[in-house]
Amino acid sequence: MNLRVDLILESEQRSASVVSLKLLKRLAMIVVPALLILIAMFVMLGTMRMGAQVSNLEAQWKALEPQRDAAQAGIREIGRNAAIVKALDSWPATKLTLHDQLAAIMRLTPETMQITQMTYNQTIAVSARSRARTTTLRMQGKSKGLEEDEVEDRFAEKNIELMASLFRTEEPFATLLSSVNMRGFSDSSDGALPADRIFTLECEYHPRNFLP
Amino acid sequence: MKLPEDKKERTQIIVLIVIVSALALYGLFQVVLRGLMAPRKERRERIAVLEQNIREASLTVRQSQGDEQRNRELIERMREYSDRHLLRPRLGGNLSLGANEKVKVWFREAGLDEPVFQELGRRAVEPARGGDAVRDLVHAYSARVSFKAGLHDVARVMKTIEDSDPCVTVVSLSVTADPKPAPDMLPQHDVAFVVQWPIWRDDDYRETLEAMLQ
Repeated sequence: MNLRVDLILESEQRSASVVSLKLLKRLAMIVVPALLILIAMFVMLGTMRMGAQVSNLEAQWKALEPQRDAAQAGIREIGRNAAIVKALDSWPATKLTLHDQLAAIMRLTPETMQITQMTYNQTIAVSARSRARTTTLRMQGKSKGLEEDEVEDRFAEKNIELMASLFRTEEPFATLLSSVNMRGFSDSSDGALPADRIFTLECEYHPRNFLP
Repeated sequence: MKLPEDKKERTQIIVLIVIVSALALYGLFQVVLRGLMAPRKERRERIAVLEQNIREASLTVRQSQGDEQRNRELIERMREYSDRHLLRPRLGGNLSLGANEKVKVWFREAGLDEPVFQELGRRAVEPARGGDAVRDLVHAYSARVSFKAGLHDVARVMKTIEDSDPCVTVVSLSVTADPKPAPDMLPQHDVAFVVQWPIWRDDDYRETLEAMLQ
């Protein structure tokens, strides 16, 4: 027969476990606030360090900002002045000389042809990407046929075609012109021979671009 | 309060306590740390902005070294254009006096009689385009010149004009043949041309350039 004598009151009984709720409570009361304080200190120290870094950078920026503003103003002024110089450089760059063209017109016009009207005109064409001087030359005149010429011999027409061909191939026009259109018509003026012709020569020049 | 004797129950309670504590800690951290972290975040952002500004500004300052000299060279070129090629106003903005004088010189040099001079006025060289106000500082002054001459004479006066200045431009020329040339005389055609000079839009821009060089 076994007998069990329990001499400890229930209130005096203790758990045999190493971890008790009381211990956990005590640990939490110390560890958690300590942990919080540590983290808060760490964060605050970091924030203070950053504050010092901000002050340092702001001092650097304060010293650098006027220099940057002056540099930017200088860059803007250079851009502006360079644009003006380009606008001025565009004058000689887009210029066409006329004296050599007039000499060429006299040289390339057959003796039996007479220019009665000549108009040379420049305008400035503007597009979204460029600006250019565009030039046209328009001439009207007469091409004399031979008195004994038969209409079929086409002496006057041949001279007109020759002149157009010379404008396409001879300098300075070969380089300057982009198109040459020559047309001949019967000459119905007083005293004109049946073989005489009047002609119109229309030339367009390659555009001369302003400096960008 | 005692933990239960039963090992399983005890473990469950401990796990429960740990979870509740973790949640409580998380809540506490959220409240406390957010308060602490807010200024830290602001400063971090400010540092990033300042560092970028300083980096860009340093680059701009470095790149602008030598700009002053380059700018001076540009202004000197503008002044040279102004002095040598641009038509200068006289007597309070009058351009026709100088232009007419130049035309007379050209015709004298070409051996021709004085032509008829007609002022056409000043205008922008290039039709106005949005945002290109700088180029608009250079305008053109135009004059119409008409006279009677043979084609060789016209070529000669054109050469005189074109050799006199690379900026002076003849923008239009019209020659109408003499309908009834006199016998034994060279034909005298009706000739008219429009000549253009570059000018400053603002008459006192020459002085502005001088001030820039001081």
